[in-house]
Amino acid sequence: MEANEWIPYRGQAMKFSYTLGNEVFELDLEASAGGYQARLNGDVQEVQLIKADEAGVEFLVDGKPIQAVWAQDGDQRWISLNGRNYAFEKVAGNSRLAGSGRVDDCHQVRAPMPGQVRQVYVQKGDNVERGQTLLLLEAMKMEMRILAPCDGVVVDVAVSKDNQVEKDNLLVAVE
Amino acid sequence: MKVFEKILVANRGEIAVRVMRACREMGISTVGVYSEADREALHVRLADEAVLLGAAAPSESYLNIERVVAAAKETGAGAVHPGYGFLSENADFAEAVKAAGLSFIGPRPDAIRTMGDKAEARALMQKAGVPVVPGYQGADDDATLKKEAKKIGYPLLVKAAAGGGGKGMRVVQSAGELEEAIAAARREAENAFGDGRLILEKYIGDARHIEFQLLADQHGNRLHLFERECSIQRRLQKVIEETPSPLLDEVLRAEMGAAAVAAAEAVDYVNAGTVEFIVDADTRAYYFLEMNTRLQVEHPITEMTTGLDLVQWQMRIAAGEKLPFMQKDIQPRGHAIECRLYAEDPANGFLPDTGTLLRYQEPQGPGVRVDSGVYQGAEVSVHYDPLLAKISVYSENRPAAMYKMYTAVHDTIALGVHTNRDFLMDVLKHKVFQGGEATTAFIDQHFAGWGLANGEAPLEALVAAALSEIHAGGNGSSPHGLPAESDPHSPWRRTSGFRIGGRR
Repeated sequence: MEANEWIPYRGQAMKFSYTLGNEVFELDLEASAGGYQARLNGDVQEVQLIKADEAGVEFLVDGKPIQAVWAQDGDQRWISLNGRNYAFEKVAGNSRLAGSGRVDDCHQVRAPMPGQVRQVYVQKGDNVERGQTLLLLEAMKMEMRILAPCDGVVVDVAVSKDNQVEKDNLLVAVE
Repeated sequence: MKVFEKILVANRGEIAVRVMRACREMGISTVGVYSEADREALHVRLADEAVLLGAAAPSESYLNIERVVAAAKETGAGAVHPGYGFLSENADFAEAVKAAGLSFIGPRPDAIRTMGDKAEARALMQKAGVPVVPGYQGADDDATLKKEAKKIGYPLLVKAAAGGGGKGMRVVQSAGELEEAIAAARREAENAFGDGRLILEKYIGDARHIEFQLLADQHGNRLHLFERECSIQRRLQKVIEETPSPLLDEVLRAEMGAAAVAAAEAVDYVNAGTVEFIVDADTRAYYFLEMNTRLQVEHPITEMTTGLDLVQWQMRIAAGEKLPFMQKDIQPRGHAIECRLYAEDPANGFLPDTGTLLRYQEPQGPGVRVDSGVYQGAEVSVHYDPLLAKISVYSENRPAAMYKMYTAVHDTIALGVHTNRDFLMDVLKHKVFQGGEATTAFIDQHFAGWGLANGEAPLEALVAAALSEIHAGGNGSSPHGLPAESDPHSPWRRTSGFRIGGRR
């Protein structure tokens, strides 16, 4: 079920899954007399929505007022609350999570930011050690060494010198 | 009086906006320049007219001397303000501007050239009796550098002779890292400055970075506008600056101020400039680091405590005006702090981030100043510096200024790209910073691994995310039919209680 299309009615629970860093969070919202009942890791709180618009939301959690500013960008859910920013990634289903680079990033080295490949130090078939420099990436006039996340053999080098890469582009595959 | 009719601002981002505002206040019309990536940028919107320089890459646009000078000629500008970064410390550019019959708002080309060359500047300061950091300048083939590095000892700094702004600079902890650091610094220096020469300096890790603002007219009047302390740095770039420095007493302040003026005299300096010193945190011995022959990013805090508009004075000096005040007339008041809001991820090695600023709100209030080059909806691109905005505050004393700054940073909203806002708040809350004892090693020492706890999210944040799935559709209606209110400055929005030293 797609979250955006959900219309709450009492007694129906809805699951929301997000990742933040390497953590996965599962929140249940259930429509209740006063609004919602929120459940996170066994913690249950009453939520009462006061108002919401495209820029943000005001609600009560067990009577305590909360204000947040939000923004959506693809699967990203930006929340600014209580002087902290959270960049949640919405997880549509478990299949997507299992296939993402986040979980399997030992084998697929991806660009941490957009930039230009300055040097490539490895080629297909090379043995690499964890921490070894695979290539140099330059962005915003800063050079960054991309290191091997684990020991293994290079099975693919997806970029070459002077290539422009986008964030999350595959750079090197290690097995 | 009008010092120039029309000025071309050869820069982008917040500094171009800052300079254009000063021009407007003085009745001077402005010409902006921009790259293809900056068609929608704030500085282009603000300029009276704007000229496209070329492609996004700086070498095709903001670093293209010929194009910038041609733009100034085409539009009939009488002077060029270079801002900071890009061509601001490029003597060839200053010369080209003059050769085209225009005024360059900055020092004479030879002063830029001398001070821009870290090797030459070190030698000149030694001659003028200004103490310099132990190090090496001279022939810079790899073999010589290795030999000299051994003499200096580790850790040391490999530095681009033509450098500035932390680019082309590497800290080397041991001999094993030297070769790669030399190669990387040389490459970065060649890319950024077109000059790969390197020098070596002893790396004084536990040091304070204190700089003096200078102002000099064309009639031989030179004075300093006191210091700024910029010890809070990451990746050798400044994050938080303040004035006055909590380290200096009146005696040391006067001595360093005089040394800074002497440094300027040694190159017959004209216009605004800054002499940077490294001060040993324990012995309080100070060493000349470099002179920046341009306006500094952190100039607003000096403007706040001295009451002088540095950019307006830059233009007046370039037009030949005489400074109407002397050293004894400069009496700074109160305390000012600046925080730099960067599009970067402090939890991930301070890597720059790019994207669209989906939500953006600047802080407000008495004594709060924001210099920014962005707006909500603006694109933060990969091509340029990740500085989004500078938040500066002024108050009567340091604790009051810290409290004000914390509030201002708290009230800053920037979503859509990762920013260092939360990190800034944690730095401002840190007792070492609050005690005025932070050195340039402060962030490395106390914030390594910062953000590891950021994999944590309170229930409230997840509820907000979940509610956004249901209610962020954008029709502006509330479930109770009340009009939507989205003022982030509403006092209702403040839900945290922050105290400095238990004060309220």
